Amino acid sequence: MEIIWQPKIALISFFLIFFVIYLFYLTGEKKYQKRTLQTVSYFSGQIPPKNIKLEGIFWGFFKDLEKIYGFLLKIQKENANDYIFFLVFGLIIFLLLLGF
Amino acid sequence: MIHFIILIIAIPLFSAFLLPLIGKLNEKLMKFWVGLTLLLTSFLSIFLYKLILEKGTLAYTLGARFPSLTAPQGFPIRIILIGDALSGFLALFFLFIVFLSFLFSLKILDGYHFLDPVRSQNALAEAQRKQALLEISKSLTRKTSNGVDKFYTLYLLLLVGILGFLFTADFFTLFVFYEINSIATTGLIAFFRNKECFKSAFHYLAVFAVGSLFLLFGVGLLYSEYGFLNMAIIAKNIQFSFLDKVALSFIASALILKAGIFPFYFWKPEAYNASPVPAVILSIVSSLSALYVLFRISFDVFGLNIIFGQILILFSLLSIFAGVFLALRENNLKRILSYLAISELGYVVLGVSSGFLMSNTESGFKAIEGGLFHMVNDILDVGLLFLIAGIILYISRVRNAFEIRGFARKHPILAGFFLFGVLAISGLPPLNGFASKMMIYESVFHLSPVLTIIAILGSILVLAVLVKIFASIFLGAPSEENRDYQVIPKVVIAIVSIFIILMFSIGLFPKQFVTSFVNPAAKALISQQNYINSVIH
Repeated sequence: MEIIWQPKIALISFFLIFFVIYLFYLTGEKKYQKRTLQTVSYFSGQIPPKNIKLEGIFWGFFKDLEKIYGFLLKIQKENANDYIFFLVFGLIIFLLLLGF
Repeated sequence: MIHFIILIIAIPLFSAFLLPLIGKLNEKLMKFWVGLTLLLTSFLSIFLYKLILEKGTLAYTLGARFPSLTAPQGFPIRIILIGDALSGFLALFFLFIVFLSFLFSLKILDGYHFLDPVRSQNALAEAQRKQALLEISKSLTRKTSNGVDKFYTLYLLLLVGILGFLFTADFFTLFVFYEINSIATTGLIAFFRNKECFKSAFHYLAVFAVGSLFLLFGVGLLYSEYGFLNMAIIAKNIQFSFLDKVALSFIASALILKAGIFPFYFWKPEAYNASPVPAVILSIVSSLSALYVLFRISFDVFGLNIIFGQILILFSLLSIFAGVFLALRENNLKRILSYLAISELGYVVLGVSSGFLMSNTESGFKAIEGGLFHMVNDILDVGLLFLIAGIILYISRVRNAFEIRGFARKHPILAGFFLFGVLAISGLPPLNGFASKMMIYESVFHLSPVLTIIAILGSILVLAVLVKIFASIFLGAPSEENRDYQVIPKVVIAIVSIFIILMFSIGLFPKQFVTSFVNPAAKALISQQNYINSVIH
């Protein structure tokens, strides 16, 4: 920790980086107008889909890991019987791992 | 002076039972009483910690002058409390956080009327009745109970359960505090009295009834084998026989359930989502105190067992991944944060259990320090995010923060605060989360580089979850331009600021913090002989 993490140097670096970002910002477009086409997201000329929400940004990730999610969501069904079952099942696994 | 240990537990317990009576007299007086109790307990914890640093580990026996009277030649069943550098430091820090969450609750709790159907109906009925009776007589109006007195009673009882966990040194008292902890939490989950809260509270009660039985069964096995309930005496005589292993499985399962890590984390999102935010903060503290007991028992009672350490490492990695994977999929702010809380606890367990396997090495000690350091950072980072979630729900009157968009345009300060929480919990410099995660990564690397890679991957996924939350709630155009937001109370902003100042200070000066607080705590955890000697002279 002592060698790699130097908080003071990190802090100075952050300020320097922010200063450089600010310089970039100063060179930006000054004729920016609100409530015009300038503020609309550009989708390569396509009409943006309306039914896709921001929460779905990791959709591909879920699709790829469908099996893992299937198992994880099975435990999370909010059913007291399932909870007790997993509790006892977990204990048995613990006993097997530790006892033998 | 030594009575500080028992007073820290007795004062909130006594105060909790007095609260309903004071609440009948005056609500403001009741809140003042709770504040006074917490303040007094916090001061006592400061004095106790100072005393521990001066004199070393302190043992306190109820009903006997010396702890050694609980030894075979004396009376074997007595309540013993032990305060050392680890439990003393955690008590001090937890009480500080609980005091802040109490101040937060003073301003925020009343703003959640809309979640409580009983209270809203009462308010409506009250208004109608007042209108009707106003013409007849003002004296006929009756004040309805708002349940705040019950909230604070349970709040203090849960605190008693947490402090009991930290100081108890015998297994039966541990069971009693486990029960207090579970019952108080059930009441706090049901506080809003809506259908969802009752369901969650019932689930919690059902699960922890079984959890308590596990603990009781494990304790019973140890008692049947050794004839003692005292942890130090059992530690001295432990054989690590098959029966001991079964007892350890039962006790560890009950504690892992209370901590809410893999494989027993399922109750957490439901319970945290239903509870008021100040109660969630206390529940996080309760989970950490359960982890403390787990570490204490693993190191000081059962000694270092390699297989147990490996199981804990496996559970920690699965907690990290199960937490972030489920958080990525979820679309409810409080539930997402609950999953992240599970994931962060995984880091604590990873650090300490790796230290378990690398005992008597410098890396091992560093890993334990990293794990204990992350306990502090966990409550600060996850706590901050929960506080902000509480503020968003309070000012916007919604059940789920994902219902609102473009929040940063209305409340840029809150967006900034949330961003600090995001950076800290993802382990980015220069905030506190980075300092402790860095210690864990570096030391765990010596055990296996794969563990470090998995841990870093977990942190990256945490950042991905938080980017989703930040973009969904804070960025973009506001969903309803004319939504009527409540004003954020200044006290609440001050409390959140204290959290951020602490996070920055710890992140910028981690070495000083580790040397002053974490190092003595880690030394206290690994010295089993010292723990045994504090009871048996």
